[in-house]
Amino acid sequence: MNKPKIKALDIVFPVLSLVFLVGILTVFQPCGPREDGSWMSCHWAGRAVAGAAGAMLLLSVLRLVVRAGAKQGLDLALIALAALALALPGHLIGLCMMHDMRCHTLTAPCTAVLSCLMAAAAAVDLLLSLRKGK
Amino acid sequence: MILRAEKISRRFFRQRKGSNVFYAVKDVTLEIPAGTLTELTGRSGSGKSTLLNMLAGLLEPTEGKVYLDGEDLYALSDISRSRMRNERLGVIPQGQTALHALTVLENVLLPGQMYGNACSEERGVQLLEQVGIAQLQNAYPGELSGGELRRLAIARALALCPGVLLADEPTGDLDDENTRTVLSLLRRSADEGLAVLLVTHEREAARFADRHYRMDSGMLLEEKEH
Amino acid sequence: MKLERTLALKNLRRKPARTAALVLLSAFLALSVFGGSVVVASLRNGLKSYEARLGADIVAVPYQARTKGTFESILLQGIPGMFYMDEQYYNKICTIEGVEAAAPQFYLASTSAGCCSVPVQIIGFDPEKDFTVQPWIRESFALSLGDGDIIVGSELTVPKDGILTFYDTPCRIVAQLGKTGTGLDTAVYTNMATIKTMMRNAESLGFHYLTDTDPDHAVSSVMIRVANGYDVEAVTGDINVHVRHVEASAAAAMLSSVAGGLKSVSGVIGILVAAIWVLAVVILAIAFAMISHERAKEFAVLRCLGASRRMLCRLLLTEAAFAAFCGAVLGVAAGALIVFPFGNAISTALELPYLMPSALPAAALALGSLLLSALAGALSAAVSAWRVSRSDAGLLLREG
Repeated sequence: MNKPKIKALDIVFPVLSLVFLVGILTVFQPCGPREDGSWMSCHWAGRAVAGAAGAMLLLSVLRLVVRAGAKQGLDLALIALAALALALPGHLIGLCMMHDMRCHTLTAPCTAVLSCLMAAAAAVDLLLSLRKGK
Repeated sequence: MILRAEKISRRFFRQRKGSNVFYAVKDVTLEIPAGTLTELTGRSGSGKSTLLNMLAGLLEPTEGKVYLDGEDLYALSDISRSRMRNERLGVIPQGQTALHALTVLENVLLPGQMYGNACSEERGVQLLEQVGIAQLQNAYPGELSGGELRRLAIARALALCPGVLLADEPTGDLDDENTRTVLSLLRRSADEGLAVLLVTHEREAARFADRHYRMDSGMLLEEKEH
Repeated sequence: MKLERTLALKNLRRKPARTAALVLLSAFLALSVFGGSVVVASLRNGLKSYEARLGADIVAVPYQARTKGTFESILLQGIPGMFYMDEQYYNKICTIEGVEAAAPQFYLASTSAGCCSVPVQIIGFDPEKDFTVQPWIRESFALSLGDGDIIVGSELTVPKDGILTFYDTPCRIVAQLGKTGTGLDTAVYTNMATIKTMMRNAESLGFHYLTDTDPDHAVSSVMIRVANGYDVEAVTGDINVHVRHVEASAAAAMLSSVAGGLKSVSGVIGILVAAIWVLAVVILAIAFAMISHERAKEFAVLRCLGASRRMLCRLLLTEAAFAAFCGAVLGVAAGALIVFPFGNAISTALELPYLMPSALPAAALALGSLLLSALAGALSAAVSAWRVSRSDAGLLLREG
């Protein structure tokens, strides 16, 4: 068995990161521009999250074709990226001042939930593969 | 160890015209002494399995008593009776009876885990060797053939060194070779001192047995040597 | 007991599809119970804090503000509003019999371009007369507010330099208030002098909010405390009769409309959760009945090997409890991932005061939901377990 077998858990990663990437650009994108057309900082936080989601998508697809050891490395990278995405809105890049704005009620929580799911899935896969390796 | 049934009957109710009571087993007195293989034949529906289940403590007779070494089985509570069955009776039920969630070896070790008087892993493997399926110990029952499953059931019944072995059609739907293997295993158990009751359809079984009985409409008849 | 546990685990592991279905069903149950109870608890907390923050017996506002519901929008949804009346009405209110204390407030909304894309409500109060805002402020700020000082609600992000500028008036943030779950969380508080300065600066920037009244002699609302021995309803009526252009409302009446909203939302959630619970118990019971029927032979074999009736019962219950517990843990985790991050979104959607429970009560709710879901699992398996343990192994084996 040289060819890597694709399990259900392997599919979770690209699906989740695709949902993440598409979501941050559409469904739960941050607040729109001000009346004068200028953007608020949450817009740039959203851009940064989209970048992290894009990187996750790339790694997730890569995961499907590499061998077991490399998969563990990619799992670690995905956990780190998920932590970055979690910290981006509000911590690394500020959001709007009022907490009932869209970026606080929608963008930040959706990012948090998807990052947590991503990190949890990667951690589960990592643990399973480590246990199998023993 | 002696298993003895005294005038046991099992009555069933059913919705029929005329009489709505019928006897699956009627007034049977039977003794199964240690070191013998007793054969019980009869047509299907004649009450063989009902009798065996009553002897195994699984089905309470409507009349009569069953004694194991002088102890009235059905006077005991369910827990003590179950424990007695676990420790002193080896039951091989009809059909394929392996637990599919467990491996072959785990199936054999299962009776030993019920009340803490464990059957060691070595003994489990040894039993599997005796019935000739030791190489399958880590397989799951789904991967075994019919003959192998019967042999597994025999090994499992012997796990806790019971004094009595009750086998219900252990050779049903097996080919000739497997039938002979199973029957000689039972014969060997009897020779080692167990009281063995074999319920069967198999003609060949007569050659292996010491005593022969036949059931007909719930009545037990002793048959002379063929 | 150890045997039942290992056997139950192995049975669950060897039937992944069946186990997954049981776990998912139980997870859905736990999710709805936990999510529903957190929302209801948040609404209850919200009502309590709304009551505490209102802090007055009667609220009087200009007639037009009352009819348009602007005042309630400020309190409940944090939608900024501006309405004014001449100071003489305030003076008149003070003369009404039964009015023990009356505190004027002055409202201003920031321009949207100032700091956010939406305006912020600025509330000015008179430190001498105020009795509603200051007790609350004292919880987080012990000194008195100087001119140019502001205190912000919990739902505003404080900028690094601690300065917010409204209408070219730079203000120093001296404290942030605790969360109330009401619209006041996005408001900014300051004293009368500072807000009047802002108002004048707004005029010079070209915003003419007041056309017929002098800003220095205008108020937006009056918070009234009724003296002991006077009936609140009666005093409210007196104000409405004697002071024209002013609409006074008893705080109790304002609260009761919110309480009504809370009651209907809680009721819907309660019915929904109860229905899901009953439905899940029924579905699980059917599932367990089917499973135990399918496994009747397996149980009969276990009986042959010496398992007592009680052992079979425990085996089935252990399996059910394992599946239900795993599902419940997953469900509560999923519920936490929904209700906590999206708390603000839920609160905005409900338009009711919404204050999420703190860590300890939330943990208690999680534990309760876990137990309730596990109980549903055990309850639905109990009937099947009882039936399995009653069935006659001898008869089952005879059949095949």
